[in-house]
Amino acid sequence: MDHRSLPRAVRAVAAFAIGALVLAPTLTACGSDDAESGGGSIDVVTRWTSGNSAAAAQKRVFDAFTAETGITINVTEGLETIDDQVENAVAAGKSPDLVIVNLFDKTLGWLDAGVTVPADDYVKDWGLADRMKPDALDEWRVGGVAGGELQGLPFSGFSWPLWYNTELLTKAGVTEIPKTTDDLLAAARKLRAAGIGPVAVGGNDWTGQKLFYQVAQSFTDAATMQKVMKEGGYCATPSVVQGIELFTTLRDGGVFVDNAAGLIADDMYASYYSGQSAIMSAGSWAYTESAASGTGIEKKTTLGGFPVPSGSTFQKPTAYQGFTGVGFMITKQGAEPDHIDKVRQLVTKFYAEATVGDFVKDASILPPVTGDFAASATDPLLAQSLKLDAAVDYAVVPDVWIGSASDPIIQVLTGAYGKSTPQQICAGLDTATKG
Amino acid sequence: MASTSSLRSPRVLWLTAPSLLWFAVFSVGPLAAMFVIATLRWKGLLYEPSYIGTENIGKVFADPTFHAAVRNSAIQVAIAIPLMIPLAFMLGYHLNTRPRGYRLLSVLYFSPGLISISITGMIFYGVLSPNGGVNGLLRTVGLDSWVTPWLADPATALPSLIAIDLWRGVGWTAVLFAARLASLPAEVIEAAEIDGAGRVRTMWQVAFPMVKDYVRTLTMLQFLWTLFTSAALILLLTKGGPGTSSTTLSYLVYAKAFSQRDLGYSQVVGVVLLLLGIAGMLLIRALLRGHEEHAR
Repeated sequence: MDHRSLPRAVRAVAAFAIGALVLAPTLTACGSDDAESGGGSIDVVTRWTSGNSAAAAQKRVFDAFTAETGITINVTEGLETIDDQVENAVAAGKSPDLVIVNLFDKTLGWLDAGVTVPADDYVKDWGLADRMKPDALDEWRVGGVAGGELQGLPFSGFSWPLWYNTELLTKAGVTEIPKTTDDLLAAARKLRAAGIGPVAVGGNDWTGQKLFYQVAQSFTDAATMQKVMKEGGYCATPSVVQGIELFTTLRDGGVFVDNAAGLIADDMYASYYSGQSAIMSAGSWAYTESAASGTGIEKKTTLGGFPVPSGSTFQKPTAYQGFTGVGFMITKQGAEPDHIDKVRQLVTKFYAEATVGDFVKDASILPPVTGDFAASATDPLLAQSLKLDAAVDYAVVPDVWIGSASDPIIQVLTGAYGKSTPQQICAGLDTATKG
Repeated sequence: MASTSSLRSPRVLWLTAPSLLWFAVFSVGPLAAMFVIATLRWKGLLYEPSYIGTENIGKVFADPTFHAAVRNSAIQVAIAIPLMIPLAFMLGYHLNTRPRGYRLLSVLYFSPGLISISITGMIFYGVLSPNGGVNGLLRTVGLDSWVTPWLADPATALPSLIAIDLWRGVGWTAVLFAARLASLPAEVIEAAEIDGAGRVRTMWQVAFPMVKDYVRTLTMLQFLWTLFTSAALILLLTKGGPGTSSTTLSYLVYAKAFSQRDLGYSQVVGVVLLLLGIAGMLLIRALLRGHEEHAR
């Protein structure tokens, strides 16, 4: 999943500026012969960067790995443009051995481009096949279906519910969490009357994109929605157009905070955590971060789904869940005979039960392996999240299906959070999808 | 002292070989590569390219996004340059008269040119975001109805970018004009003033013609910078959106090459940009031709 917290553009420039300085020495080490220690070395690029809630748990794994094996890890922190960073390194002949990254946008093409190798055999040979959840594996297969080649090893599962600040809802006279879109429109009116923003969302980035798709697929079955996301045909699919019309009805009914088109994820979090708005859509990676904000918001929050309209294909409010969050992608370099065993030792260490529990505790991940991690789910929001299945239906996460059209689609949807008509939106999405 | 003929001897000219080689490898080479890549279907460095002839050209010219980019680039250049150059010249002339605090003013005018593009982006994101400085000011003075997401509203995204171009370019260019105006013979300006020419008349009818060549050069440079380098600011602030409302040709080259994996398309747009750049320079040259050139 695309866990971005700053505008991609700002990060992109940072990547070019900082990347040139940071990556040059580090990636120069990539592919180098083992020299640092008796155990050799392994080159890793990771999306779990400093400040990420999973960074500390990752560091503990790295430190323990080096202490046990004597193998040093050359770590490069992947920035927002980690996909470009890795591709440039590979093109320059400086490929890392292992990339810890989300399955999204360009990384979806890495297997086809020969950057990475299929992971099917490794899952079996490394003794993970019986422990990994089949759903998690399928999401990492080409086409997202059983039988497709495995693009990497899933690790960080997520749930992506709606967050409701019940204290603010009560203050505005909204006694129950909205279950239908009519309820939501009524709640938005009451919240606005009380001077409280309704749904905070980054209409100018990936948070707005995900929420839009959640609404847009209200009347469409999963298979059709996946096809439309992948190939286009938004305007030609009446049920999708109906979903887009629902979105503009909600927008025009004041469901989203003012000027949402210009907001990004950071604005959304700030608005919700500070009590300026009562609702937001955010993933489980934000559970521990919300507590760290020091606002006490985690105690006022009830997790739920996005309300559904009458006639929807969903019976219950919707949320997302999936395993296309951070996982392990093994490069061709990492699959070389003199590298793969080191990769095996490091990757399997992450799947040790105690390590998974550590990540559940620190970063609120949904575990990719079977087992009882209840003792690790100490975060109150994660505990709520684990009970969501009874309250929500799960919508199709768009990332895998929209692929590299993600950025042009965000451009279109910025207009959707502004004043675009349903026809303009569906036509824009068709153009963006077909390139 | 060496004679002119000895300086032109073949033996001495060989000394220019390294710079010519450098120019060939790093200037002519990429330029030629642009034309070659424009004929390829190529997703990026990691993928195999295939030759498709002129297919990319048809694709680009039939694409509404390209049409929008041409329109936006034309608007950007047509507004930014005619505003920037006269404003900068007037400011530069004012600086050259050495008003009180002119040294501080010079530093202030020049400072936007010293700020990196990413910092500029962050500053203006703070200024123009929905909860930013401009909207805060508007709310304070009771103009709530004017509040808008400046960078995410199709009606204001491109004008906002043009305004930032002006902010970055006017002061910096003014300092350059001031430096050039300082080299004019003071007696000419004094003579004009003694003859009763007012300040505006002296500025435009005496000083301006004397530095017209320099104005032409700076106009060409600002034109090229505006046309070719707008991608950076757009990437930071609007990503070409909403829709295609702030997509310029320069940004389209970037987006197609780096985001949408269509290098062939990207380089066709690059060639169009190159041709527009040459055409624009010829137009500026014709419009700002000096007296001597007219006389020839």
